[in-house]
Amino acid sequence: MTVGEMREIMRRRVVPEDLVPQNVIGLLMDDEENAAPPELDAFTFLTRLRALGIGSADFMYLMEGCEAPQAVVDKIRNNPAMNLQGLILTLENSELTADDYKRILYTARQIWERTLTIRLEKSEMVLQGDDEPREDYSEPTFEEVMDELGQMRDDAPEGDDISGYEEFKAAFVTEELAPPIEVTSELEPVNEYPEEETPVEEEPVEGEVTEEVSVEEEIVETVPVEEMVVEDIVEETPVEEAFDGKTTDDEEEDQDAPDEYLEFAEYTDRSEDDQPVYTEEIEPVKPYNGDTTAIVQIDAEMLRQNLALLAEDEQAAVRAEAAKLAAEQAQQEAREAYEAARAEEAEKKAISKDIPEEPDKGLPEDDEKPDDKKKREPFVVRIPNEHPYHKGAIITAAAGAAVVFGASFGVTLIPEPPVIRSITYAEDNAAIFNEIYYSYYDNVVGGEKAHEPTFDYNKIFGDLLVTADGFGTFSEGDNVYTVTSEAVSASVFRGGTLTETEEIHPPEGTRIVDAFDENGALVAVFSGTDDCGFMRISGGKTLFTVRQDGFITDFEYKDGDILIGSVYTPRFTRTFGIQDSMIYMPRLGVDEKNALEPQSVIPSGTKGYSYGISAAYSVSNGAVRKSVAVLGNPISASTDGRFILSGEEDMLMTVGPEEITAVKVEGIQLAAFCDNGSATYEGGNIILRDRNGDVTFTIANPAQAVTAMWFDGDLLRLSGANGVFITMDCSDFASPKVAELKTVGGAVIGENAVIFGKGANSLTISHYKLENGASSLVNTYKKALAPELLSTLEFGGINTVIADGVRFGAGYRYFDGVSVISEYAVMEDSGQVYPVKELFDDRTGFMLAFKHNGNIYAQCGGGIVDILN
Amino acid sequence: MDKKEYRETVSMAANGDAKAFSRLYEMISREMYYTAFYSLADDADAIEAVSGTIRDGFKAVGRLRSEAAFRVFMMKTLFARIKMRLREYGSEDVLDEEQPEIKYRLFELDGVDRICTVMYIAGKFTIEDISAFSGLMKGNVKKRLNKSVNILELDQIY
Repeated sequence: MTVGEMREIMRRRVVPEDLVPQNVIGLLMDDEENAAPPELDAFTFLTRLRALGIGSADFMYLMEGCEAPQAVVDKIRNNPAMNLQGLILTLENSELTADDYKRILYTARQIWERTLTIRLEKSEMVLQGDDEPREDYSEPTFEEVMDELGQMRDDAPEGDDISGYEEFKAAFVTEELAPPIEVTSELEPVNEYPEEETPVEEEPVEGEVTEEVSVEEEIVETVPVEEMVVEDIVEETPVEEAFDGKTTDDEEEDQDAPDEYLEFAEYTDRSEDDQPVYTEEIEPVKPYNGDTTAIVQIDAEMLRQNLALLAEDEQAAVRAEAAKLAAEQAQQEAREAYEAARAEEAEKKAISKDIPEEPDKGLPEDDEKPDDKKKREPFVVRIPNEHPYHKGAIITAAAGAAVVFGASFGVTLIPEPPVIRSITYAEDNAAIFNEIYYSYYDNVVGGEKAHEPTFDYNKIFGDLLVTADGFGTFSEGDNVYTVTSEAVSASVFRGGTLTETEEIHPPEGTRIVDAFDENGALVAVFSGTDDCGFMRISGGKTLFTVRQDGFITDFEYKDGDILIGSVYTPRFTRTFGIQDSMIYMPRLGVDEKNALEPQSVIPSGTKGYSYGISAAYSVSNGAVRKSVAVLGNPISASTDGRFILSGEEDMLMTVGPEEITAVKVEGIQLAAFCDNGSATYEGGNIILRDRNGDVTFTIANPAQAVTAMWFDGDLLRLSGANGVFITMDCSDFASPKVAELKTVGGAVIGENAVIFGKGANSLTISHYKLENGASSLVNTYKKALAPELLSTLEFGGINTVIADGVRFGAGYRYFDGVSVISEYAVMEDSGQVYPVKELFDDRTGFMLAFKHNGNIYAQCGGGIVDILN
Repeated sequence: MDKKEYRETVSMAANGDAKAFSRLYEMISREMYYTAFYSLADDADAIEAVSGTIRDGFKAVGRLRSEAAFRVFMMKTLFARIKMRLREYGSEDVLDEEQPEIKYRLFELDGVDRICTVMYIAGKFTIEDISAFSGLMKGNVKKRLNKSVNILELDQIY
């Protein structure tokens, strides 16, 4: 079915009578009659006053000025330590009505607007060079504003208070109440972060940057839909559910369209591109003393058997030596056969000028004669099946060496000692091309058993498994980057405003799998089916992109270099000849890929035309330090030039820097590398082998079928249907142990980790450092919080985390039964605690935090907050 | 509806003229209903979602200075209402027996994927539109649409 057909079917549906435009009139009329504005209560009244920046002194003026009962005024004045709850009770028990609240709010609103106007006027005078005394360039006093207001009132026609409220109320819902005010960017920010302020838009006008302050957008809470979204969902979503786990459809949805619990939509008439979407994911925080990974049973019997086999291997050392000699001899024969084949083909090529044909138009039938095949062979170079190269080189060149040895001498292949031979690189493109030709001809692709590690945002930090919701926020000068698997969002922080400038995507078909700060620049590593590599980003732009064919099987950042192992299967989409090396050779390079030289490619002898590629690049300029590839049927490629391949007879080929080790294996399914050696998943068991190919340990019958495995340093991570189910510490390759990782929520930033947790009556934010591979606690910020509030506590996410080795901090939020309170706490490693910044019912809470000129700033729904000052 | 006419109609609607508002609503009434009907399991839920959105729109129409803004407001509100309703469904996001065949296929999709797909196919909205309505990034909308195409086994969607 096409989209058009489906559309046609769907649009056949008849709109019900109730929703026909003519019939909704009745619906709206009924509503209008029944509609009644919600009454203001004391809490809402105080919240709105706070949003208007009314302090305690001003509040008293307002109360008296608006003729609040003297008893209330006195009670508040005489109790300076009265808390919010006390204030609410006092107001509620007073004679103040909702109309009184409206009147006071109306006055407060006028004060706020006049404050703004006076400041702007003064600022303009200063900018225009008026002889205004410098000390007058300050915020007007409350008395000053009240005086002006009094004058305005005197000038204004008489009217009752409620009509004034109506005008005020209209300001909430009518955009045209106040036209945008233009101020130059040289002014200090007009609005010093009132919680409910909408961030100003910045538009450069012929070299002069201006800001538009949309006064009327400030109070969005009165928009009916928003009330519905926030309040209804707060009611509907149990706080425990919001805390305990994600309930959204999938991870992607979380990133962009989070839990409605905190979804605040601002409905304005701005263009769609400008529409801010106040959404934020609330990642549930896992308890600090959380789960440990599952323990798999190690089959002791199997272990004993393997040790016995190893002992037998040692006794068979003499046989192995003989095998090695035989393999070398076979290789020499293959080499001679290969040379003969090349000479013969060179002769043929000199004669033949045929145009290559489409190679994938269908494979010849088995019963076709060789002559028929020849007629349809698409490649320029033609080597018939009966050619000595095919029979000799293919079989004996590599893995076949062991097979030939076994067949000739009648040695039992299980357990077979490793067969070692020296590395032979391809001499020219023809050698590679011929290998590919025969694999393609036989429809053996290779690479099917290769798997990417399970990339996610979680990181291991010593004995902690830190779960995160992104790669974090990075800052560099004025530039701020937020990284997710989809893209790097680059913003610039200028004039107190954070403006998104660009969204940097990895190459098509890839996603970001890691990101870190490197000497001030951001490095984002990416991987996809056909492409992997890294981008260096600085100044808000991509400086260069290193690209390598295939998907990542191993990755390491070490000594200023990025090392990548990948597995790649070329996709032949058109006819190609030996000269089209860009089509069939492995490729890598900076910004654009170039084919590797054949002298860097090892024909493994295993059947298949896939490549394992291992390369190292300078992280500063992307220069290729070294590169090597192996052709055949790769399963995994390491960062340091080792490969695991599957041969025709389940041979595990480990290609090292100087030699190839071939081992007979049983049904290899997965493979991974670490410094000590390799791990393979064979016949339901995990086999560890050292760099010589000798089995050191067997993990028999893991608790689940393994779908992916990879090393994180010395930690072997096994992933099943439901994700990682066991982590083994393989630092001692002969005696691996189950690594007991504590699952915690937080962020890993280089050598620092900030962990968010909950105690019985407090929240904690802890700073850890990595010391000799272990996580070491530096300091912990602690805040007492009642259990009922703790149950609603949510961590602000990795983007809010700051850890620079001196200070650490993070955002969080909780619901106190009336309001969502967002806070940002910062503590120095020395123990000094900065005052907590808090927001009430902010649309988004703290979304991200970044460093700038030694300060820490955080972005929230109301704009940017200076955290330290 | 040209700008002048729109402004006049909005002005009337903002002053409580339900008939004027119904003219504005008419511009997107079918798209709204299709989106709600094919995204939600129950027809009554769809009607409720659209009705609620109409009420919200009537209250807010005075603030919406352009036709585009009106459309974004209405669809954005509808999107939020549908998502809320889907959340209420929880694991009971299943259809009863008397539904069009095409709806069963659509219910093979996840909630938000389904809303985006319905908006794209039945509502004829662009990816940019859906991005504005849903708050999702354009790339994310594309990805969801591609996923839906594969599940629904449709020809390429764009």
